[in-house]
Amino acid sequence: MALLTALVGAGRARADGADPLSDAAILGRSPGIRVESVRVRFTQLDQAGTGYQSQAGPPEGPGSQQLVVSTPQAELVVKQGRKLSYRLEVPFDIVTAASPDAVDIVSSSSKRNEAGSIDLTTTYQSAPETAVFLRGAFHLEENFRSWTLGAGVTHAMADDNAVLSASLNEVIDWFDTYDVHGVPQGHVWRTSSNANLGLTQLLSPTTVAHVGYGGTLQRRNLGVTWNSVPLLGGGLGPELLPEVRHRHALLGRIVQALPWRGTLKQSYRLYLDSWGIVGNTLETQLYQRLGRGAYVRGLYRLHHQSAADFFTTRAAPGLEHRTADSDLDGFTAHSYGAKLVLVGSTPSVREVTFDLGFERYHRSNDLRASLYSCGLSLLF
Amino acid sequence: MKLQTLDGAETTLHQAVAGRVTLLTLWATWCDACRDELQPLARLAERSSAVGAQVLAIDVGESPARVAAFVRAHKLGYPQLLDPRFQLSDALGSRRVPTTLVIDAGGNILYRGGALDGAALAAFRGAIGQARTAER
Repeated sequence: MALLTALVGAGRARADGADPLSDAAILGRSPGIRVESVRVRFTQLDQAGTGYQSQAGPPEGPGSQQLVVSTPQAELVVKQGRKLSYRLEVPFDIVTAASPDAVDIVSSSSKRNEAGSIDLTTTYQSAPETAVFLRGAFHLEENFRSWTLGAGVTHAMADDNAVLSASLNEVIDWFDTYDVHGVPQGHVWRTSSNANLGLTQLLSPTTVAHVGYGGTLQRRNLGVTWNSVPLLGGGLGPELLPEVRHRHALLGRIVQALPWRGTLKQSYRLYLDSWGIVGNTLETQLYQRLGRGAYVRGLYRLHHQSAADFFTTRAAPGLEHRTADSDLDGFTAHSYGAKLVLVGSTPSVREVTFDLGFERYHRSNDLRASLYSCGLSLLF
Repeated sequence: MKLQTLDGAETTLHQAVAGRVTLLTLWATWCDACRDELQPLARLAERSSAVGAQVLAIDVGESPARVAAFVRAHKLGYPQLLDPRFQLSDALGSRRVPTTLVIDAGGNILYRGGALDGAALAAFRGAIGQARTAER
């Protein structure tokens, strides 16, 4: 009986294979591995200013925060078959600092610092409307290691007019710790658990809206360990931070196509954390097409935040928590920039994109930065 | 339902289907999933014409010049029409590309799905079989 079933099955398979309209004859075998896109980018950040956490200045501060970061990075997207895709990102950071940290005084380890990451995201299209992804990343630098694991899902609804997304990430950082005199104190670690939820909704043929929430719980050693705080009676003491930080971010964004071949993106972000920081960020981006193969993007961002509850530039003795880090101060920041993007194609490359960008950042507590970037992207 | 040919002339879906079993695909040049099915559709078009059926592609939301350049570059031999103002896709309630429809010789929609797959082909083969039976 089994033999008969097998023979009948084989006969059916031959008949199916002979049918010129069979699935196998039309759809063929599942496509193998192919490169979908390659992107390379170079970014340089030139930062100047002063901050009380830096010892590159008078003992009572503030010290220099001069910093140059060069970041070459590459991204490769590969598809395997019809449902699997892999995105590999490899960024490097080359940091040259003016000695903002105590660790430089003794070891100079952060005067010049190279860092690299490997970040792999695997996406499985489980249904036409649903994709799930897994992410793993590793970051390595001189006195710092970081591991990231993440997972998420996107689900399209209402004929793709709405897309719901959710993701979870866990980051573990393990790093050397130093006192304010640059003396190594062993290793410490921290964890960051992050959850994100987003909804993108098509409101009209020319309007898309997005709302999102991100929550993060950070635990254990949450500082860079060698930041200093000027003390009220003179001298410097170590930064003392709480071992827990809850962070919440709400984002709203609207994208509107404009009648003159432009697009306006407007977003607002509200940030709150358990250290007392409340941040409000407004951002406007205007994209304007210049012709078939070029467009420009203008950007303006306004950010205002309140200081952490325990921020001080003259710490009284006996405080449980204290910091003089300028990033945890209250300030208003402005960013503005422009980017030129050229788009073309060749017979073998579906889309070639080259971009040149500049962004200027300055904030009210004496920090300024210029960001230069250029990128090349090939879509096959 | 007015559609456009690649050279800008007006036509209708009724004229394009013309009483034949039709596998209709709604697509766009920017759509990656649509590009993945160009070769399967070309094979299907070539083989189904021998049995009196056809493959019909309707680009949605793009200009005739753009689509014509794409069709030339990829040497697509099956019939191409345009729905530049989304009239057909709105009438069908479809906002996704690719969308695959199987239409029988009487103009009835027998199947509707996303990308070309085994279910769409089964419906297409079924419609061809029914048309042959009706002819006899």
